[in-house]
Amino acid sequence: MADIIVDDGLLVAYADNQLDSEQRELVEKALQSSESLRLKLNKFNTSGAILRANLDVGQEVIPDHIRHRILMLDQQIKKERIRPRLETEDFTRDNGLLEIPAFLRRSTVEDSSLSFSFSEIDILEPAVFQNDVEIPNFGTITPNDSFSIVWASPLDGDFSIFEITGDNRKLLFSGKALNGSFLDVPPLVRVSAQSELKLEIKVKNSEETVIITKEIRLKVVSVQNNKEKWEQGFSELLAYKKEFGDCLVTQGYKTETSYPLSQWISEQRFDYKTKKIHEERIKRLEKLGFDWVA
Amino acid sequence: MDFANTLIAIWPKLMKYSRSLTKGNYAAEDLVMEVITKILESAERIDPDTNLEAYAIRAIKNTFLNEVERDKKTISEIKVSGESIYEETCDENSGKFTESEDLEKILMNLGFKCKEILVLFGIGSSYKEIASLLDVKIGTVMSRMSRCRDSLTDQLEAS
Repeated sequence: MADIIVDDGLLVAYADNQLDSEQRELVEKALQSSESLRLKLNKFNTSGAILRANLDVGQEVIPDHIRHRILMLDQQIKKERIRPRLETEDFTRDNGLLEIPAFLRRSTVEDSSLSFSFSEIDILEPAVFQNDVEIPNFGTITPNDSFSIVWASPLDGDFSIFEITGDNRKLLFSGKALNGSFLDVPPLVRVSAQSELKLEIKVKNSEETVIITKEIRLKVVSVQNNKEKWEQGFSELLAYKKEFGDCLVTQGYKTETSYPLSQWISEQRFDYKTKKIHEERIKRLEKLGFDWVA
Repeated sequence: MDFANTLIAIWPKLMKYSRSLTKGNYAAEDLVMEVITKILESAERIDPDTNLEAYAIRAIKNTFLNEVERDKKTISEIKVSGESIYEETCDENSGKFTESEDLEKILMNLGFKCKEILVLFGIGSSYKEIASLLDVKIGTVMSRMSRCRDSLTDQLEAS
């Protein structure tokens, strides 16, 4: 039988099982008649086995926090694509000093976009936030200001905010959030210097496993002096009554200028129920025929 | 295509390849995450039929080389086996290796091109995929693979 020439390239490809049947047959014929080729094949087989054994991707398992980070990142990017940029120009300052609520303490600030994100919320022990924080190039937000939180988790969930003073744990606010929606936190969620706020967030994924999100993006969308804010709401309600003849604002209603009148009314009812609204404001609203029960 | 879940599935391969470039676990993870972020951000512009694994590996290599250039890290061009190859001489290994450090050292000694082709094979890429990733003919893969395997065998026997 004539010698069949098999070069090293073909032989290593044979060793690595990269040849088609015709090529394999050719190499196998050559191997039968060449001891040196067989020796070389053994070396290729050995080095291939070492590479596979040491670089076996089966040994590499993606850590849960990386998996979670990729999924969060994906959701965040998708959301940024579809969500219009939020207006933040309506921020006002009171004597140049606004104080931010304490539970934004451990947040990071993305320059002037006024976005915040919690970096680490422990799964078993929710983070405790305390003290105030100042937003660079902006100031701080006072406890009298209201704010909204953008729920940027890819999952739907419940959230609760507790005020903790010593051993006392008081539920300040709780609600539900859908993916990408706003958690509108009413002005009553305020922080005193001695207390702590605990933000607990429970979410369920598609497999119904309860987890607590590790990363939440927060965005202050509208901060105004509380009095100005109330007066704006009252004047919007006044305009509504002039136009429609009553104060029966439907749920979710926003004015032509996108003012969330329905939300403002809910806040008044909540404050009334919890006895946090000033007597003078009660009178002014009742004079308009405002109904305290929804 | 569900880019996020596909990237999660191929993450082990990307990490193995990234480690072969960066020589450090943390640096490798950063590199992979940077590429994953870029892919997710540009997902709308990527053809759904694209082989995402090949795309990501290519992106990792390009990103790494760009970073090296940008950071002006010490890269020396050396000649091995008549080929011009790059060898990273900066040691930024601040993490631990999860695989054999001996093999890692040997691969580093073989130079960039050998290390690259051997790692790609080791993580399960076929010759055809390697040819596509490196933008060379399959015959080139076969000849380079045989040379690099010879070098690897020599180094293993000497160690």
